[in-house]
Amino acid sequence: MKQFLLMPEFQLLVWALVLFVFDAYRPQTKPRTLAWLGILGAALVLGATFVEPLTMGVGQYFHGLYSVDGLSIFFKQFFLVTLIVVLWMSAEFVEVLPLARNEFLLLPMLTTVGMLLLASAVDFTTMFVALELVTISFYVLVAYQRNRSASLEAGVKYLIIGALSTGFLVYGIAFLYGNAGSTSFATILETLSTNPLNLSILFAMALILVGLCFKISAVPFHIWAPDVYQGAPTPVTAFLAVGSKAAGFVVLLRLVFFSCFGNPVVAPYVSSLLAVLAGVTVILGTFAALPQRNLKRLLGYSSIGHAGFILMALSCLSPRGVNAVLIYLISYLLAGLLAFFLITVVSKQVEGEELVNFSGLSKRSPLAAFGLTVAFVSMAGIPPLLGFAGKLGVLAAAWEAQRYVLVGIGVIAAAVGLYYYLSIVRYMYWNEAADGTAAVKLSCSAKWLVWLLVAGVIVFGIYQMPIATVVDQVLLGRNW
Amino acid sequence: MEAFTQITLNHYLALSGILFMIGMIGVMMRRNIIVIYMSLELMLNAANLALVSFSRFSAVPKLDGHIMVFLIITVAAAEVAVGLALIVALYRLKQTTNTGDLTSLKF
Repeated sequence: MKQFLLMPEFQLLVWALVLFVFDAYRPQTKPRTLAWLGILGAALVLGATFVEPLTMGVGQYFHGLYSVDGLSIFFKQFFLVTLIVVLWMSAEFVEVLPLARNEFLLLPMLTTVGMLLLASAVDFTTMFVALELVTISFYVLVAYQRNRSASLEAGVKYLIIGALSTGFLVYGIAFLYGNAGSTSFATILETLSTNPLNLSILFAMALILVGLCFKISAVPFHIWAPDVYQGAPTPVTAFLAVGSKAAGFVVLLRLVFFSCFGNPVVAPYVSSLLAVLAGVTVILGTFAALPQRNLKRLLGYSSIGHAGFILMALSCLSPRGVNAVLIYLISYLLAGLLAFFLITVVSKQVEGEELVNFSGLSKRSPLAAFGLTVAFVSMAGIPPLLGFAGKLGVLAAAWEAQRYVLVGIGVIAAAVGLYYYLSIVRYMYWNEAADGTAAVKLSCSAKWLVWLLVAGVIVFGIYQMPIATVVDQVLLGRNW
Repeated sequence: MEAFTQITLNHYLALSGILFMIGMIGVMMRRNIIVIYMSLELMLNAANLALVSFSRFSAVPKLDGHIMVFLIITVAAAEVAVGLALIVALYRLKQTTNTGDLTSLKF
Protein backbone atom coordinates (compact mmCIF):
# COMPACT_ATOMS: atom_id res chain seq x y z
CA MET A 1 0.00 0.00 0.00
CA LYS A 2 2.83 2.35 0.88
CA GLN A 3 4.41 1.66 -2.52
CA PHE A 4 1.13 2.49 -4.24
CA LEU A 5 1.06 5.95 -2.69
CA LEU A 6 4.67 6.56 -3.69
CA MET A 7 4.13 5.73 -7.37
CA PRO A 8 4.21 8.90 -9.52
CA GLU A 9 1.50 7.30 -11.71
CA PHE A 10 -0.82 7.00 -8.76
CA GLN A 11 -0.16 10.55 -7.57
CA LEU A 12 -0.81 12.02 -11.01
CA LEU A 13 -3.92 9.86 -11.49
CA VAL A 14 -5.38 11.05 -8.18
CA TRP A 15 -4.63 14.67 -9.06
CA ALA A 16 -6.31 14.28 -12.48
CA LEU A 17 -9.40 12.63 -10.98
CA VAL A 18 -9.66 15.34 -8.31
CA LEU A 19 -9.59 17.94 -11.07
CA PHE A 20 -12.27 16.02 -13.00
CA VAL A 21 -14.55 16.08 -9.94
CA PHE A 22 -13.68 19.72 -9.26
CA ASP A 23 -14.63 20.55 -12.86
CA ALA A 24 -17.90 18.60 -12.55
CA TYR A 25 -18.97 20.60 -9.49
CA ARG A 26 -17.69 23.94 -10.75
CA PRO A 27 -18.28 23.91 -14.51
CA GLN A 28 -17.80 27.67 -14.71
CA THR A 29 -14.10 27.30 -13.83
CA LYS A 30 -11.96 29.02 -16.44
CA PRO A 31 -9.89 26.59 -18.57
CA ARG A 32 -6.78 28.61 -17.79
CA THR A 33 -7.23 28.09 -14.03
CA LEU A 34 -7.66 24.37 -14.60
CA ALA A 35 -4.54 24.27 -16.78
CA TRP A 36 -2.49 25.95 -14.04
CA LEU A 37 -3.83 23.50 -11.46
CA GLY A 38 -2.81 20.66 -13.80
CA ILE A 39 0.66 22.17 -14.25
CA LEU A 40 0.98 22.55 -10.49
CA GLY A 41 0.13 18.87 -9.99
CA ALA A 42 2.53 17.74 -12.70
CA ALA A 43 5.29 19.90 -11.17
CA LEU A 44 4.70 18.40 -7.72
CA VAL A 45 4.87 14.86 -9.12
CA LEU A 46 7.98 15.86 -11.07
CA GLY A 47 9.55 16.99 -7.81
CA ALA A 48 8.60 13.68 -6.20
CA THR A 49 10.34 11.68 -8.93
CA PHE A 50 13.66 13.25 -7.92
CA VAL A 51 13.43 11.69 -4.48
CA GLU A 52 11.89 8.44 -5.76
CA PRO A 53 15.12 6.40 -5.38
CA LEU A 54 15.10 7.39 -1.70
CA THR A 55 11.41 7.05 -0.86
CA MET A 56 10.43 4.05 -2.93
CA GLY A 57 13.89 2.63 -3.53
CA VAL A 58 15.45 1.28 -6.71
CA GLY A 59 14.22 -2.22 -7.46
CA GLN A 60 11.27 -4.25 -8.68
CA TYR A 61 7.79 -4.12 -7.19
CA PHE A 62 4.42 -5.84 -7.50
CA HIS A 63 5.82 -9.32 -8.22
CA GLY A 64 8.20 -8.11 -10.90
CA LEU A 65 5.68 -6.05 -12.86
CA TYR A 66 7.03 -2.62 -12.02
CA SER A 67 10.57 -1.38 -11.83
CA VAL A 68 12.18 1.73 -10.42
CA ASP A 69 15.60 2.32 -12.00
CA GLY A 70 17.63 4.98 -13.79
CA LEU A 71 15.83 4.50 -17.09
CA SER A 72 12.35 4.72 -15.59
CA ILE A 73 13.14 7.80 -13.51
CA PHE A 74 14.74 9.61 -16.46
CA PHE A 75 11.72 8.99 -18.68
CA LYS A 76 9.21 9.83 -15.97
CA GLN A 77 10.82 13.23 -15.62
CA PHE A 78 10.87 13.54 -19.42
CA PHE A 79 7.12 12.80 -19.69
CA LEU A 80 6.19 15.13 -16.83
CA VAL A 81 8.12 18.02 -18.39
CA THR A 82 6.33 17.29 -21.67
CA LEU A 83 2.99 17.29 -19.86
CA ILE A 84 3.72 20.65 -18.24
CA VAL A 85 4.53 22.27 -21.59
CA VAL A 86 1.57 20.60 -23.32
CA LEU A 87 -0.83 21.91 -20.65
CA TRP A 88 0.73 25.36 -20.99
CA MET A 89 0.16 25.10 -24.74
CA SER A 90 -3.41 23.81 -24.31
CA ALA A 91 -4.26 26.80 -22.12
CA GLU A 92 -3.39 29.04 -25.09
CA PHE A 93 -5.22 26.81 -27.54
CA VAL A 94 -8.38 25.95 -25.66
CA GLU A 95 -10.31 29.12 -26.62
CA VAL A 96 -10.50 27.75 -30.18
CA LEU A 97 -12.61 24.79 -29.04
CA PRO A 98 -16.37 25.32 -29.18
CA LEU A 99 -17.24 22.83 -26.43
CA ALA A 100 -15.86 20.54 -23.71
CA ARG A 101 -12.87 22.76 -23.13
CA ASN A 102 -11.97 21.61 -19.64
CA GLU A 103 -11.71 17.93 -20.52
CA PHE A 104 -9.18 18.81 -23.19
CA LEU A 105 -6.89 19.94 -20.38
CA LEU A 106 -7.45 16.88 -18.21
CA LEU A 107 -7.11 14.11 -20.79
CA PRO A 108 -3.36 14.72 -21.36
CA MET A 109 -2.85 14.06 -17.65
CA LEU A 110 -4.44 10.61 -17.96
CA THR A 111 -2.36 9.92 -21.07
CA THR A 112 0.73 10.81 -19.07
CA VAL A 113 -0.27 8.32 -16.37
CA GLY A 114 0.01 5.64 -19.08
CA MET A 115 3.39 6.98 -20.20
CA LEU A 116 4.75 6.97 -16.64
CA LEU A 117 3.62 3.39 -16.15
CA LEU A 118 5.19 2.46 -19.47
CA ALA A 119 8.56 3.79 -18.29
CA SER A 120 8.46 1.33 -15.38
CA ALA A 121 6.98 -1.69 -17.17
CA VAL A 122 9.20 -4.77 -16.97
CA ASP A 123 6.58 -7.32 -17.92
CA PHE A 124 4.63 -7.64 -21.14
CA THR A 125 1.30 -7.43 -19.29
CA THR A 126 2.13 -4.05 -17.71
CA MET A 127 3.73 -2.86 -20.91
CA PHE A 128 0.71 -3.75 -23.02
CA VAL A 129 -1.85 -2.16 -20.70
CA ALA A 130 0.21 1.02 -20.28
CA LEU A 131 0.83 1.28 -24.02
CA GLU A 132 -2.86 0.92 -24.77
CA LEU A 133 -3.76 3.48 -22.12
CA VAL A 134 -1.56 5.94 -24.00
CA THR A 135 -2.84 4.93 -27.45
CA ILE A 136 -6.55 4.92 -26.61
CA SER A 137 -6.45 8.30 -24.90
CA PHE A 138 -4.63 9.63 -27.95
CA TYR A 139 -7.49 8.39 -30.18
CA VAL A 140 -9.78 10.69 -28.23
CA LEU A 141 -7.35 13.61 -28.19
CA VAL A 142 -6.55 13.48 -31.90
CA ALA A 143 -10.24 13.52 -32.89
CA TYR A 144 -11.10 16.09 -30.22
CA GLN A 145 -12.39 18.77 -32.61
CA ARG A 146 -15.26 16.60 -33.76
CA ASN A 147 -16.90 19.42 -35.70
CA ARG A 148 -13.83 19.63 -37.97
CA SER A 149 -13.58 16.95 -40.61
CA ALA A 150 -9.75 17.09 -40.70
CA SER A 151 -9.54 16.26 -36.99
CA LEU A 152 -12.01 13.36 -37.25
CA GLU A 153 -10.31 12.00 -40.32
CA ALA A 154 -6.96 12.13 -38.55
CA GLY A 155 -8.58 10.33 -35.61
CA VAL A 156 -9.92 7.51 -37.80
CA LYS A 157 -6.59 7.04 -39.55
CA TYR A 158 -4.75 6.99 -36.23
CA LEU A 159 -7.31 4.51 -34.89
CA ILE A 160 -7.02 2.03 -37.75
CA ILE A 161 -3.24 2.04 -37.96
CA GLY A 162 -2.93 2.04 -34.18
CA ALA A 163 -5.20 -0.97 -33.81
CA LEU A 164 -3.35 -2.75 -36.62
CA SER A 165 -0.02 -2.24 -34.85
CA THR A 166 -1.58 -3.44 -31.59
CA GLY A 167 -2.57 -6.64 -33.40
CA PHE A 168 1.04 -7.20 -34.51
CA LEU A 169 2.36 -6.45 -31.03
CA VAL A 170 -0.06 -8.80 -29.29
CA TYR A 171 0.57 -11.60 -31.76
CA GLY A 172 4.30 -11.18 -31.19
CA ILE A 173 3.81 -11.26 -27.42
CA ALA A 174 1.75 -14.46 -27.77
CA PHE A 175 4.52 -16.26 -29.65
CA LEU A 176 7.25 -14.99 -27.37
CA TYR A 177 5.20 -16.23 -24.41
CA GLY A 178 4.80 -19.57 -26.15
CA ASN A 179 8.55 -19.95 -26.46
CA ALA A 180 9.66 -18.56 -23.13
CA GLY A 181 6.72 -19.63 -20.96
CA SER A 182 6.56 -16.25 -19.25
CA THR A 183 5.68 -12.64 -19.91
CA SER A 184 8.34 -11.20 -17.62
CA PHE A 185 11.25 -9.49 -19.39
CA ALA A 186 13.80 -10.98 -16.98
CA THR A 187 12.56 -14.56 -17.41
CA ILE A 188 12.43 -14.19 -21.17
CA LEU A 189 16.02 -12.90 -21.17
CA GLU A 190 17.06 -15.99 -19.21
CA THR A 191 15.19 -18.44 -21.45
CA LEU A 192 16.49 -16.85 -24.63
CA SER A 193 20.10 -17.18 -23.48
CA THR A 194 19.80 -20.85 -22.47
CA ASN A 195 17.54 -22.27 -25.19
CA PRO A 196 18.56 -22.63 -28.84
CA LEU A 197 17.26 -19.93 -31.13
CA ASN A 198 14.39 -20.93 -33.40
CA LEU A 199 12.41 -19.30 -36.16
CA SER A 200 9.33 -18.62 -34.08
CA ILE A 201 11.31 -16.54 -31.54
CA LEU A 202 12.70 -14.40 -34.35
CA PHE A 203 9.19 -14.10 -35.83
CA ALA A 204 7.80 -12.98 -32.46
CA MET A 205 10.59 -10.44 -31.96
CA ALA A 206 10.13 -8.99 -35.41
CA LEU A 207 6.37 -8.62 -34.82
CA ILE A 208 6.91 -6.87 -31.47
CA LEU A 209 9.54 -4.46 -32.81
CA VAL A 210 7.47 -3.68 -35.91
CA GLY A 211 4.38 -3.14 -33.73
CA LEU A 212 6.31 -0.65 -31.60
CA CYS A 213 7.31 1.27 -34.73
CA PHE A 214 3.79 2.70 -34.72
CA LYS A 215 4.40 4.68 -31.54
CA ILE A 216 7.67 6.15 -32.75
CA SER A 217 6.26 6.76 -36.27
CA ALA A 218 8.93 4.70 -38.03
CA VAL A 219 8.62 2.55 -41.16
CA PRO A 220 6.45 0.40 -41.67
CA PHE A 221 3.85 2.14 -39.44
CA HIS A 222 4.85 5.71 -40.28
CA ILE A 223 2.01 6.42 -42.67
CA TRP A 224 -0.29 7.98 -40.08
CA ALA A 225 2.17 10.67 -38.96
CA PRO A 226 1.74 13.39 -41.63
CA ASP A 227 -2.06 13.13 -41.72
CA VAL A 228 -2.49 12.99 -37.97
CA TYR A 229 0.04 15.73 -37.27
CA GLN A 230 -1.82 17.98 -39.70
CA GLY A 231 -5.36 17.13 -38.59
CA ALA A 232 -4.98 16.92 -34.80
CA PRO A 233 -5.28 19.97 -32.52
CA THR A 234 -1.77 21.49 -32.31
CA PRO A 235 -1.10 20.78 -28.59
CA VAL A 236 -2.02 17.15 -29.26
CA THR A 237 0.35 17.11 -32.22
CA ALA A 238 3.10 18.33 -29.93
CA PHE A 239 2.23 15.69 -27.35
CA LEU A 240 2.27 13.00 -30.06
CA ALA A 241 5.55 14.22 -31.49
CA VAL A 242 7.42 14.35 -28.19
CA GLY A 243 5.57 12.31 -25.55
CA SER A 244 4.24 9.46 -27.64
CA LYS A 245 7.50 9.07 -29.53
CA ALA A 246 9.50 8.94 -26.30
CA ALA A 247 6.99 6.42 -24.94
CA GLY A 248 7.79 4.15 -27.88
CA PHE A 249 11.51 4.62 -27.34
CA VAL A 250 11.46 3.85 -23.63
CA VAL A 251 9.89 0.46 -24.40
CA LEU A 252 12.33 -0.18 -27.23
CA LEU A 253 15.28 0.83 -25.03
CA ARG A 254 14.18 -1.45 -22.24
CA LEU A 255 13.54 -4.35 -24.59
CA VAL A 256 16.60 -4.22 -26.80
CA PHE A 257 19.22 -2.79 -24.47
CA PHE A 258 18.26 -3.19 -20.83
CA SER A 259 16.56 -6.57 -20.94
CA CYS A 260 15.20 -9.42 -22.97
CA PHE A 261 16.26 -8.78 -26.58
CA GLY A 262 19.65 -7.53 -25.45
CA ASN A 263 21.20 -10.93 -24.88
CA PRO A 264 24.06 -11.84 -27.25
CA VAL A 265 22.12 -14.66 -28.96
CA VAL A 266 19.40 -12.50 -30.48
CA ALA A 267 21.12 -9.10 -30.40
CA PRO A 268 22.64 -9.34 -33.92
CA TYR A 269 19.21 -10.02 -35.47
CA VAL A 270 17.54 -7.21 -33.53
CA SER A 271 20.36 -4.85 -34.40
CA SER A 272 20.18 -5.54 -38.16
CA LEU A 273 16.38 -5.28 -38.24
CA LEU A 274 16.48 -1.91 -36.45
CA ALA A 275 19.30 -0.68 -38.69
CA VAL A 276 17.32 -1.44 -41.85
CA LEU A 277 14.17 0.20 -40.45
CA ALA A 278 16.25 3.22 -39.36
CA GLY A 279 17.81 3.70 -42.78
CA VAL A 280 14.49 3.49 -44.64
CA THR A 281 12.78 5.76 -42.08
CA VAL A 282 15.44 8.47 -42.32
CA ILE A 283 15.37 8.51 -46.13
CA LEU A 284 11.58 8.51 -46.32
CA GLY A 285 11.04 11.14 -43.64
CA THR A 286 13.61 13.52 -45.03
CA PHE A 287 12.78 13.40 -48.71
CA ALA A 288 8.99 13.33 -48.33
CA ALA A 289 9.21 16.54 -46.27
CA LEU A 290 10.71 18.50 -49.16
CA PRO A 291 7.55 19.32 -51.17
CA GLN A 292 5.32 20.05 -48.14
CA ARG A 293 3.60 23.43 -47.83
CA ASN A 294 1.68 22.87 -44.59
CA LEU A 295 3.89 23.52 -41.57
CA LYS A 296 2.35 20.83 -39.32
CA ARG A 297 2.46 18.26 -42.13
CA LEU A 298 6.09 19.16 -42.79
CA LEU A 299 6.87 18.64 -39.12
CA GLY A 300 5.07 15.29 -39.37
CA TYR A 301 7.49 14.11 -42.03
CA SER A 302 10.44 15.65 -40.22
CA SER A 303 9.41 13.78 -37.07
CA ILE A 304 9.56 10.53 -39.08
CA GLY A 305 13.10 11.54 -40.00
CA HIS A 306 13.97 12.22 -36.34
CA ALA A 307 12.55 8.82 -35.36
CA GLY A 308 14.86 7.30 -37.96
CA PHE A 309 17.88 9.08 -36.48
CA ILE A 310 17.06 7.89 -32.98
CA LEU A 311 16.49 4.32 -34.23
CA MET A 312 19.87 4.55 -35.94
CA ALA A 313 21.54 5.20 -32.60
CA LEU A 314 19.46 2.50 -30.92
CA SER A 315 20.36 -0.09 -33.55
CA CYS A 316 24.02 0.09 -32.46
CA LEU A 317 23.05 -1.53 -29.13
CA SER A 318 26.03 0.13 -27.47
CA PRO A 319 26.25 2.43 -24.44
CA ARG A 320 27.32 5.24 -26.79
CA GLY A 321 24.21 4.58 -28.89
CA VAL A 322 21.88 4.75 -25.90
CA ASN A 323 23.62 7.93 -24.80
CA ALA A 324 22.88 9.41 -28.23
CA VAL A 325 19.23 8.27 -28.07
CA LEU A 326 18.68 10.09 -24.78
CA ILE A 327 20.46 13.29 -25.83
CA TYR A 328 18.57 13.34 -29.13
CA LEU A 329 15.27 12.90 -27.28
CA ILE A 330 16.08 15.80 -24.94
CA SER A 331 16.98 18.03 -27.86
CA TYR A 332 13.78 17.04 -29.66
CA LEU A 333 11.77 17.67 -26.50
CA LEU A 334 12.99 21.27 -26.25
CA ALA A 335 13.00 22.16 -29.95
CA GLY A 336 9.83 20.26 -30.87
CA LEU A 337 7.76 21.70 -28.04
CA LEU A 338 9.10 25.18 -28.78
CA ALA A 339 8.10 24.90 -32.45
CA PHE A 340 4.63 23.50 -31.75
CA PHE A 341 4.00 26.01 -28.98
CA LEU A 342 4.71 28.92 -31.30
CA ILE A 343 2.66 27.33 -34.10
CA THR A 344 -0.26 27.07 -31.65
CA VAL A 345 0.00 30.70 -30.64
CA VAL A 346 0.70 32.12 -34.09
CA SER A 347 -1.73 30.06 -36.19
CA LYS A 348 -4.57 31.11 -33.88
CA GLN A 349 -3.96 34.69 -35.02
CA VAL A 350 -2.94 34.26 -38.66
CA GLU A 351 -5.80 31.85 -39.52
CA GLY A 352 -3.83 28.99 -40.97
CA GLU A 353 -0.93 26.58 -40.69
CA GLU A 354 0.37 26.86 -44.26
CA LEU A 355 3.91 28.11 -44.75
CA VAL A 356 2.50 31.16 -46.54
CA ASN A 357 0.66 32.19 -43.37
CA PHE A 358 4.01 32.42 -41.58
CA SER A 359 5.66 34.66 -44.17
CA GLY A 360 6.83 37.98 -42.83
CA LEU A 361 6.40 36.76 -39.26
CA SER A 362 9.61 38.51 -38.17
CA LYS A 363 7.87 41.87 -38.60
CA ARG A 364 4.62 40.79 -37.01
CA SER A 365 6.17 39.16 -33.95
CA PRO A 366 9.98 39.19 -33.66
CA LEU A 367 9.95 36.90 -30.61
CA ALA A 368 7.82 34.21 -32.30
CA ALA A 369 9.99 34.31 -35.44
CA PHE A 370 13.15 34.10 -33.33
CA GLY A 371 11.80 31.20 -31.27
CA LEU A 372 10.75 29.24 -34.35
CA THR A 373 14.14 29.89 -35.93
CA VAL A 374 15.96 28.57 -32.88
CA ALA A 375 13.72 25.47 -32.88
CA PHE A 376 14.23 24.72 -36.58
CA VAL A 377 17.95 25.45 -36.55
CA SER A 378 18.31 23.08 -33.61
CA MET A 379 16.28 20.39 -35.40
CA ALA A 380 18.44 20.85 -38.47
CA GLY A 381 21.49 20.15 -36.31
CA ILE A 382 23.52 23.33 -36.62
CA PRO A 383 26.09 24.01 -33.88
CA PRO A 384 26.08 25.36 -31.19
CA LEU A 385 22.45 24.38 -30.52
CA LEU A 386 21.46 21.18 -28.75
CA GLY A 387 20.20 19.46 -31.91
CA PHE A 388 23.79 19.38 -33.17
CA ALA A 389 24.91 17.39 -30.12
CA GLY A 390 22.07 14.93 -30.77
CA LYS A 391 22.89 14.39 -34.45
CA LEU A 392 26.63 14.19 -33.78
CA GLY A 393 26.08 11.59 -31.06
CA VAL A 394 23.96 9.46 -33.39
CA LEU A 395 26.50 9.57 -36.22
CA ALA A 396 29.39 8.86 -33.84
CA ALA A 397 27.56 5.84 -32.42
CA ALA A 398 26.81 4.51 -35.91
CA TRP A 399 30.46 5.05 -36.91
CA GLU A 400 31.68 3.22 -33.84
CA ALA A 401 29.37 0.29 -34.67
CA GLN A 402 30.88 0.27 -38.18
CA ARG A 403 27.59 0.99 -39.88
CA TYR A 404 29.11 3.24 -42.54
CA VAL A 405 26.07 3.05 -44.84
CA LEU A 406 23.88 4.44 -42.05
CA VAL A 407 26.41 7.19 -41.38
CA GLY A 408 26.29 8.13 -45.07
CA ILE A 409 22.49 8.17 -45.10
CA GLY A 410 22.49 10.24 -41.91
CA VAL A 411 24.86 12.86 -43.30
CA ILE A 412 22.88 13.22 -46.53
CA ALA A 413 19.58 13.41 -44.62
CA ALA A 414 20.99 16.07 -42.30
CA ALA A 415 22.05 18.14 -45.31
CA VAL A 416 18.64 17.80 -46.98
CA GLY A 417 16.96 18.61 -43.66
CA LEU A 418 18.95 21.83 -43.54
CA TYR A 419 17.32 22.86 -46.81
CA TYR A 420 13.72 22.54 -45.69
CA TYR A 421 14.21 23.82 -42.16
CA LEU A 422 15.98 26.90 -43.43
CA SER A 423 13.33 27.45 -46.10
CA ILE A 424 10.82 27.95 -43.26
CA VAL A 425 13.19 30.51 -41.75
CA ARG A 426 13.40 32.20 -45.17
CA TYR A 427 9.59 32.46 -45.26
CA MET A 428 9.55 34.14 -41.85
CA TYR A 429 12.36 36.63 -42.40
CA TRP A 430 12.65 37.39 -46.11
CA ASN A 431 9.16 36.96 -47.57
CA GLU A 432 6.55 39.68 -47.40
CA ALA A 433 3.53 39.01 -45.18
CA ALA A 434 0.69 37.59 -47.27
CA ASP A 435 -2.35 38.21 -45.11
CA GLY A 436 -2.17 41.47 -43.22
CA THR A 437 0.63 42.96 -41.16
CA ALA A 438 -1.17 43.17 -37.82
CA ALA A 439 1.12 42.33 -34.93
CA VAL A 440 0.89 38.78 -33.57
CA LYS A 441 0.51 39.04 -29.81
CA LEU A 442 1.98 36.64 -27.27
CA SER A 443 0.52 36.52 -23.78
CA CYS A 444 2.83 37.07 -20.82
CA SER A 445 2.95 33.39 -19.85
CA ALA A 446 3.57 32.42 -23.49
CA LYS A 447 6.61 34.74 -23.60
CA TRP A 448 7.96 33.14 -20.43
CA LEU A 449 7.69 29.66 -21.86
CA VAL A 450 9.27 30.67 -25.18
CA TRP A 451 12.25 32.22 -23.38
CA LEU A 452 12.62 29.18 -21.14
CA LEU A 453 12.68 26.74 -24.05
CA VAL A 454 14.95 28.96 -26.17
CA ALA A 455 17.33 29.22 -23.23
CA GLY A 456 17.22 25.44 -22.83
CA VAL A 457 18.13 24.81 -26.47
CA ILE A 458 20.99 27.33 -26.47
CA VAL A 459 22.43 26.84 -22.98
CA PHE A 460 22.40 23.04 -23.06
CA GLY A 461 23.81 23.19 -26.58
CA ILE A 462 26.89 25.01 -25.34
CA TYR A 463 27.18 23.69 -21.80
CA GLN A 464 26.36 19.98 -21.91
CA MET A 465 27.60 18.86 -18.51
CA PRO A 466 24.13 18.66 -16.84
CA ILE A 467 22.67 16.56 -19.65
CA ALA A 468 25.69 14.28 -19.81
CA THR A 469 25.47 13.66 -16.05
CA VAL A 470 21.76 12.82 -16.23
CA VAL A 471 22.27 10.48 -19.18
CA ASP A 472 25.16 8.67 -17.49
CA GLN A 473 22.91 7.97 -14.51
CA VAL A 474 20.55 6.08 -16.82
CA LEU A 475 23.28 3.86 -18.19
CA LEU A 476 24.39 2.88 -14.69
CA GLY A 477 20.97 1.30 -14.21
CA ARG A 478 21.53 -1.43 -16.78
CA ASN A 479 20.84 -4.59 -14.87
CA TRP A 480 23.06 -7.19 -16.49
CA MET B 1 -6.72 -43.27 -36.10
CA GLU B 2 -5.84 -41.84 -32.68
CA ALA B 3 -3.38 -39.41 -34.29
CA PHE B 4 -6.09 -37.79 -36.35
CA THR B 5 -8.58 -37.26 -33.54
CA GLN B 6 -6.05 -35.72 -31.14
CA ILE B 7 -6.03 -31.91 -31.30
CA THR B 8 -2.53 -30.63 -30.57
CA LEU B 9 -0.99 -27.22 -29.99
CA ASN B 10 -0.10 -26.94 -33.67
CA HIS B 11 -3.72 -27.22 -34.73
CA TYR B 12 -4.63 -24.27 -32.53
CA LEU B 13 -1.66 -22.27 -33.75
CA ALA B 14 -2.56 -22.98 -37.36
CA LEU B 15 -6.12 -21.80 -36.75
CA SER B 16 -4.82 -18.69 -34.99
CA GLY B 17 -2.44 -18.02 -37.89
CA ILE B 18 -5.30 -18.33 -40.38
CA LEU B 19 -7.48 -15.95 -38.33
CA PHE B 20 -4.62 -13.46 -38.13
CA MET B 21 -4.08 -13.57 -41.88
CA ILE B 22 -7.81 -13.18 -42.62
CA GLY B 23 -7.86 -10.17 -40.30
CA MET B 24 -4.80 -8.59 -41.88
CA ILE B 25 -6.06 -9.11 -45.43
CA GLY B 26 -9.41 -7.68 -44.37
CA VAL B 27 -7.74 -4.54 -43.01
CA MET B 28 -5.80 -4.06 -46.21
CA MET B 29 -8.48 -4.93 -48.78
CA ARG B 30 -11.75 -3.66 -47.38
CA ARG B 31 -12.90 -0.05 -47.75
CA ASN B 32 -15.64 0.12 -45.12
CA ILE B 33 -14.29 1.37 -41.77
CA ILE B 34 -16.63 -0.86 -39.76
CA VAL B 35 -15.53 -3.98 -41.66
CA ILE B 36 -11.91 -2.90 -41.19
CA TYR B 37 -12.61 -2.61 -37.50
CA MET B 38 -14.09 -6.11 -37.40
CA SER B 39 -10.96 -7.43 -39.10
CA LEU B 40 -8.79 -5.70 -36.51
CA GLU B 41 -10.73 -7.41 -33.72
CA LEU B 42 -10.21 -10.72 -35.51
CA MET B 43 -6.44 -10.14 -35.37
CA LEU B 44 -6.59 -9.53 -31.62
CA ASN B 45 -8.67 -12.67 -31.14
CA ALA B 46 -6.17 -14.69 -33.15
CA ALA B 47 -3.53 -13.57 -30.66
CA ASN B 48 -5.85 -14.49 -27.78
CA LEU B 49 -6.30 -17.99 -29.16
CA ALA B 50 -2.55 -18.41 -29.51
CA LEU B 51 -1.97 -17.19 -25.94
CA VAL B 52 -4.57 -19.48 -24.41
CA SER B 53 -3.34 -22.53 -26.29
CA PHE B 54 0.31 -21.82 -25.39
CA SER B 55 -0.76 -21.46 -21.79
CA ARG B 56 -2.86 -24.66 -21.86
CA PHE B 57 -0.21 -26.81 -23.56
CA SER B 58 2.85 -25.57 -21.68
CA ALA B 59 4.91 -28.25 -19.91
CA VAL B 60 4.63 -26.49 -16.54
CA PRO B 61 1.03 -25.37 -16.06
CA LYS B 62 1.04 -21.58 -15.68
CA LEU B 63 -1.74 -19.08 -16.08
CA ASP B 64 0.26 -16.12 -17.41
CA GLY B 65 -1.24 -16.53 -20.88
CA HIS B 66 -4.80 -16.66 -19.56
CA ILE B 67 -4.25 -13.49 -17.56
CA MET B 68 -2.82 -11.74 -20.58
CA VAL B 69 -5.94 -12.74 -22.56
CA PHE B 70 -8.24 -11.13 -20.00
CA LEU B 71 -6.23 -7.92 -20.23
CA ILE B 72 -6.35 -8.00 -24.02
CA ILE B 73 -10.13 -8.53 -24.03
CA THR B 74 -10.59 -5.58 -21.66
CA VAL B 75 -8.33 -3.31 -23.65
CA ALA B 76 -10.02 -4.35 -26.92
CA ALA B 77 -13.40 -3.46 -25.41
CA ALA B 78 -12.12 0.00 -24.47
CA GLU B 79 -10.66 0.41 -27.93
CA VAL B 80 -13.98 -0.53 -29.55
CA ALA B 81 -15.88 1.92 -27.34
CA VAL B 82 -13.66 4.79 -28.44
CA GLY B 83 -13.34 3.58 -32.03
CA LEU B 84 -17.05 3.16 -32.69
CA ALA B 85 -17.77 6.56 -31.13
CA LEU B 86 -15.25 8.04 -33.54
CA ILE B 87 -16.79 6.27 -36.52
CA VAL B 88 -20.28 7.47 -35.51
CA ALA B 89 -18.98 11.04 -35.20
CA LEU B 90 -17.43 10.73 -38.63
CA TYR B 91 -20.69 9.41 -40.09
CA ARG B 92 -22.66 12.30 -38.59
CA LEU B 93 -20.32 14.82 -40.15
CA LYS B 94 -19.70 13.28 -43.56
CA GLN B 95 -22.45 10.65 -44.05
CA THR B 96 -19.89 8.02 -45.01
CA THR B 97 -17.93 5.13 -43.55
CA ASN B 98 -15.86 4.55 -46.67
CA THR B 99 -12.11 5.11 -46.45
CA GLY B 100 -12.13 6.36 -50.04
CA ASP B 101 -14.07 9.45 -48.95
CA LEU B 102 -11.49 10.50 -46.36
CA THR B 103 -9.67 12.94 -48.58
CA SER B 104 -9.41 16.22 -46.69
CA LEU B 105 -5.83 15.49 -45.54
CA LYS B 106 -3.56 15.33 -48.56
CA PHE B 107 -0.69 17.37 -49.84
